[in-house]
Amino acid sequence: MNEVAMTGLALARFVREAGVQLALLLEADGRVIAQHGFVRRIDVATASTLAAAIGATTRELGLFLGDGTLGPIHHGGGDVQLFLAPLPERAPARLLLTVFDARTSLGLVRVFWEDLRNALRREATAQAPSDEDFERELQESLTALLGGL
Amino acid sequence: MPVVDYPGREITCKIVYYGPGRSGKTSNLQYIYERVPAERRGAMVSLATHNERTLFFDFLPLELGTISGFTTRFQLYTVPGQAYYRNTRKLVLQGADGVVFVADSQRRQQEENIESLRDLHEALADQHVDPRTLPLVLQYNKQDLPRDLISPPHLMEEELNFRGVPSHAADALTGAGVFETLRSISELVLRRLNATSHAGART
Ligand SMILES: Nc1nc2c(ncn2[C@@H]2O[C@H](COP(=O)(O)OP(=O)(O)OP(=O)(O)O)[C@@H](O)[C@H]2O)c(=O)[nH]1
Ligand SMILES: [Mg+2]
Repeated sequence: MNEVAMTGLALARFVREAGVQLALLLEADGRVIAQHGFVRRIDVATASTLAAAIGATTRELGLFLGDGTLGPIHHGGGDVQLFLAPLPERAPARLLLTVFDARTSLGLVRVFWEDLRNALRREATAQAPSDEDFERELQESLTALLGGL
Repeated sequence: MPVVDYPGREITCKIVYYGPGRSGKTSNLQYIYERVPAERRGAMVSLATHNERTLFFDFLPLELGTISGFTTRFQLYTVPGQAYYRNTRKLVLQGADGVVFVADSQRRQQEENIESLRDLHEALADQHVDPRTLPLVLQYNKQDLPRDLISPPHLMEEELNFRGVPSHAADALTGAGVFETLRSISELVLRRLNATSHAGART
């Protein structure tokens, strides 16, 4: 199985075991690598971009104050809580953004975050596909988006 | 490299609009946001100061459609052009699959353009990205301004385009050249991805 499939499975297990509502696995710059849970409830692209901004500003603040290591951040809101944590198994560190409520606890989320880190460490690598109709589809898609120029 | 989700069959490419302060980067994204079909774009997020200078970035997700069986998405970002946001620019530039350099065609801004282009190359070098292999498109914006204030495209070309990358004259307020620029960088980024995937490269 390739890396991305493994990542997806590991994240699905995290959501199930930790009892969270949703989890996003992000690159440091906010691009989504995998998502699981009730992701339809939120605008994933916006949530992940804002999460990446938190990650980036926290790291910068850490450096500014003399400690560059980014630990997990917990935001205990009213109904929903956020847990934003680095997955430092590769550089730059990826981020886990997860949303949960009173049906689970911060302690459980932390435990399964550690498990997730271990699972990701064991990932294999993926291979890209090929396609000869690429150029035609590229032009058609660009025209659909931008119109004929 | 773009983020490729093979089981989900999705590709996400990050395109960064770079350039000196007030060259028109945010205006490019605003025009794109207003003119692409609504079902193909997400919300535009702008983190700006009260006077509309970009503070952190602007962000606009676009959906291109299906290419080679993959749902293909673009994430457009702008950097803040003001000199003292250098660290933010580096952050936003991280992981870029392509860069649009928006130059200000006003003659008095030419130094700014050159400085910003240098800044871009330095930031890329810091991130161990070879500027010669990263897809880059130049845009000579504000060509609508009076002739005595601006350099025409061929002079901009001489001053800035020493690598001979695709370039477009533009006026981001009316949108002239904006889609052409986006089209150009999209082609470069996706052709490069396609070439590397044919070569069996890993993501
Ligand atoms: N005449 C003219 N004005 C433009 C054009 N593009 C942008 N402007 C104006 O230039 C100013 C700056 O534009 P922005 O798009 O905010 O510039 P920016 O590059 O995002 O600036 P920063 O966020 O500070 O880096 C605004 O007042 C725009 O209306 C253009 O093509 N022609
Ligand atoms: Mg701006």
